[in-house]
Parts: sequence; structure tokens; C-alpha cells
Amino acid sequence: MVREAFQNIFRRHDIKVARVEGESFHRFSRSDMIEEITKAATGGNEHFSHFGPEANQFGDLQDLFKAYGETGRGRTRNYLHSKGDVAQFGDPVLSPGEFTPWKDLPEGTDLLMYEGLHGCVADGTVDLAPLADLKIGIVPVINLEWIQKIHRDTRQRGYSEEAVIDTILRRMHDYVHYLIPQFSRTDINFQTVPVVDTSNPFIALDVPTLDECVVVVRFKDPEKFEIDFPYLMSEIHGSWMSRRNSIVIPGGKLGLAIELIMTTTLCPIVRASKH
Amino acid sequence: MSTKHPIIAVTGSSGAGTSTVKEAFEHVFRREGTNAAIIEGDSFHRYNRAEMKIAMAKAAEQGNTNFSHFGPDANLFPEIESLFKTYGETGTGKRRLYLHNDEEAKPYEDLSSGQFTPWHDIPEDTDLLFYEGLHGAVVNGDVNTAQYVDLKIGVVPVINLEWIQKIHRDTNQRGYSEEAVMDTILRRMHDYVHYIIPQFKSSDINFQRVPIVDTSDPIIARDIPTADESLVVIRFRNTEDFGVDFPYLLQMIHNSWMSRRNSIVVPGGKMGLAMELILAPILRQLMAGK
Repeated sequence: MVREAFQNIFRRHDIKVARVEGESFHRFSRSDMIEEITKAATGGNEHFSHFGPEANQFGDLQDLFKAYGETGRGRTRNYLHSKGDVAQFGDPVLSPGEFTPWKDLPEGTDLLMYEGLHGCVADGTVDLAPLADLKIGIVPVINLEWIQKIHRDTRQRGYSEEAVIDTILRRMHDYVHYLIPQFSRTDINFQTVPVVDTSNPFIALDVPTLDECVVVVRFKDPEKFEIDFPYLMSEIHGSWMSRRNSIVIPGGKLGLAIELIMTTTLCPIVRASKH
Repeated sequence: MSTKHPIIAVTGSSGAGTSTVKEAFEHVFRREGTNAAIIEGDSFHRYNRAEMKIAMAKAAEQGNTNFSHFGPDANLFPEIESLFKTYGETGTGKRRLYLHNDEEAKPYEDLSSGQFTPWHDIPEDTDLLFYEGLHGAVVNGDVNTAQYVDLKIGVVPVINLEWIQKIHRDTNQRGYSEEAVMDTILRRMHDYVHYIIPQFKSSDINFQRVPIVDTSDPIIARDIPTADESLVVIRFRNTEDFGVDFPYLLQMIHNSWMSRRNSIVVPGGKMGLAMELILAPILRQLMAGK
């Protein structure tokens, strides 16, 4: 829904976008990653995960943000999730779980849109947040995040519940130290909050639907983006303010809210860059 | 389960709303003239404060980085189970007190804050046993406390809020650094997932506090979300068991709504009211069974 909302805005306002996916900056292919986790565990590191700096190329991502900001150019690659991806990116020697070679971003784009786990990451060596012009956090409460992961990994990927819980615990250290701090560096956070019981995330039979959630939208600095709360509340039925800088909307209105908010925040940025 | 000597267990970490539920029960007990034997979860810690520090250091030395107050190593689970079993059968049992602070320790000449009183008998002729603590429905190997409880209530905030509350309490009131608190949270995570969380599966009623302000970075959240900045999700495992009357609740609790067949959402400030409305008829039902 988030992706669709952005696509709608880009299409409607004729914005040409260079898309970059977070997975492209993983350090290891799928099979290498499995080896690395085992290797780390043997060496006594039980926290090796896709959330942390050892498994990602934060430096390359920072270089990309810098280069694009200065020149509108940069390099990325694709991570091939599936056979479909392999076919789409057209390199039959590659298999799912591998990367395509690095390649230049398309020419003449209006903006770069990064979508992934580390858009505002800082680890002592890199610090991405100052390089991004609009930083958006999309993050469910932890209970919901666990429910979603357990569902996906047990139903679609065939893992046991125990195995998924172990993974969640293994990643916890990096989650706390590298992912969470990013959400205090963002300009806008969209946080999905279920209004059904999630106190035991491991047995929740149904993933809460969007209609069973509210979304908390928080603006770090509402003045900076000239956020018009009365307008948002009149456009989004059932919304209300929960703090000076926060509005709560029914889950089903997330797409609408993103489109309304992004149109007012994004368009000035694009206009300024085009001139 | 015992018709004659019923047991109510409220399970949840302190600060999660357990005090609100305790107050709601106190009101209901007083109004209904119920004489309850109160049991605090802390009294079933295995170690007193000083011993716990030593035990934790020892565990860390042996490479166990998950030793915590959430798990079986630091608690007397079998003793909780046996108290519940005995009380259900006979209306008696043994309890002790954990002395949280100097104030509580004052009446005891030889004891100080962080220690336990000796075990003593529960007064006779109580109407029911009321447990409040972390392990009211705990299951571990052969131990199963849940089976002896007549009314299981879970009081649990979403994890983000639980962390915010802990970080605030430990940094502001106890002078720990943020990193130290975060390390504690991570150290306890394993036991939290394996011993605390599973209990909420068997609850008859869960009360889950859910903030409606941004909690995506719990570590820097400056203000604990207030009651007015929260909702409470109330879920009944089996709505028929206790004859839950949703239309009545919806009418009595302003701005409440149903989010699932067995779940009602109420504004955070109405949590106490909701508890009293829900719990009074259930308590009457339990007492009528005697």
C-alpha cells in the first residue's frame, strides 16, 4: 500500500524516480549469508543478522546518497529474490538469492527513492540521515512486526515457529542498536498499531488487518513541511490528533494519508530541484 | 479450578496496568464484601535482592547471558503451583512477603529492604485467592499453574510501551544509564519470550494498553504515553463463559468500539471503569458458585 501510494504520486506529478532497494546493499548472497551466520555462531557471535553493519554495505549506500545528491548519478544493483526476479533482470547465469552486477542509475531522474531497512542508519562510521532530504519511517509496533514475521516465515517459507522465534531473538541486538534509533531521525513516521489483542504474538491466528489497526503519523517538525492538520482531519474520516505533532488515522486510510501528506511534502522538494 | 476456593490470577509486569487492575479489584472486593487472600508474585522470587545480584553475576560468568527475573532459574514456579493447588482444595496455604523498600521492612526488626519475611499461613476463611505478578499462568515442564486458576487475567502493554516504561523507571527513578537498561531488556528477552508471553494465550481476559502516539524509538521517547494517549484492547477468550454483555459495555464506556467478535477497544482513561464493569459480574458469578 505504501509503495502504491508513492507510485500514484510519482505518476500524477510526472516525477522520474531512481529506485533503490535496501537488499541491494546486503553484503552477502543468500547462501553466503547462511554460511556467515553459522560461522559467526561458531565464533560465539549469536547476533549476526541482516539488521547490522557486518551484513550490510553501509559505506556503499552512503556513497550512493552522496553521489546522487551532488550529481544525480550513482550505482546500484538488484538482489534477486525469486526466479521471477532472475527472469526480469535477464541474467540466466544467476540464481535467486544472488545479486546482479553493479550498474549506473538511469539518467535524468528527479529524485532517488531508497526503500529498505537502513535509510537513516548510523554506526559510528557512516551517518545517512543528513544526506536524505525527506526521511520517512514505516514501522509497526513490535508485537505486530513479530506476528507478521512469524506468519510469513511459517506459512510461506516453511520454517518452524521455534526457528522463527530464534531468528527474532538473534536479530534483537541489531534491531535495538541499528534499526530503532533511525526512527528518531526521520521527518515523518507512520506507525501501525493493532487494536486487537497481540499480547501473545506467537499464537495470533490472523495477522491484524489494516481495518483492525490505527496508524499513528508523527511529524518531527510540522512547520518545516507546512503540515495542515485541520485539512488532513477533514480529508481523513475518523482521524484525530493525539499530540501536537501527531495524528491518528484508521488503518484503512493509510494509503490516502500517505498520498495527501506526500503531495504537500514532496512536491516542493521536486520543484526546487527542477529549477 | 475450585468452586469452593476460587483463584484469580492477574499476570503482567508492574507498571503495565496491573496496579489499575488491582485497584479495580479492591473496589469490587470492598463493594461485594469479598475477603481475598492477596499473593504478590515477588514473594516467589528464588533469591532476595542481594542473592539475586550474586546469582546473576555467577550466571554471566558461566556464559548464561539470559538469567532474569522472568525465568524459572530465578523463581519458585513449583511453589506457586503447589500454593494454587492447595488453596483450591483446602482454602489454605503458605505465603510470604517480599519487602520492596524500607517502609515495608520497618515492622520487621531483623529484616531489611530486599528480603523476604518467613513463610506463614494464609488467614483462614478467605473467600478467594488473588495473585498478582509475572507468573500467574506460567507453564514450564511439569509445572502448570494455569490449570488451577479460575479466572486468568493478562495485563500487558504492547512491547514498545513496556520498554518505554522500563527505560523511564530505571533511568529516572533508579539512576541507570539508557544503555544499561537496554542491556537488561535484551538479557531478559529470551525469558520474556519463553515464559512471560505464552501465558497470555490462556488468559480468560487480556487487557492490552496500546499507545496512539509514536513509540517507534522507545529508547528516546521523552514522555511515557499517558492514559489519554492510549487505547486499551480487551479480549475475552470465551465470551459465553462469563456472559459478557458487549452492548452494555459499549453503552457504558464512551467512545468504545468492537474490533473483533470477542474484543472491545476503550479509551485509555476508561481502563479502570471498564475493568470494574467487566469484573464485578464475574466476581459475583464466582462467589455464587460457592
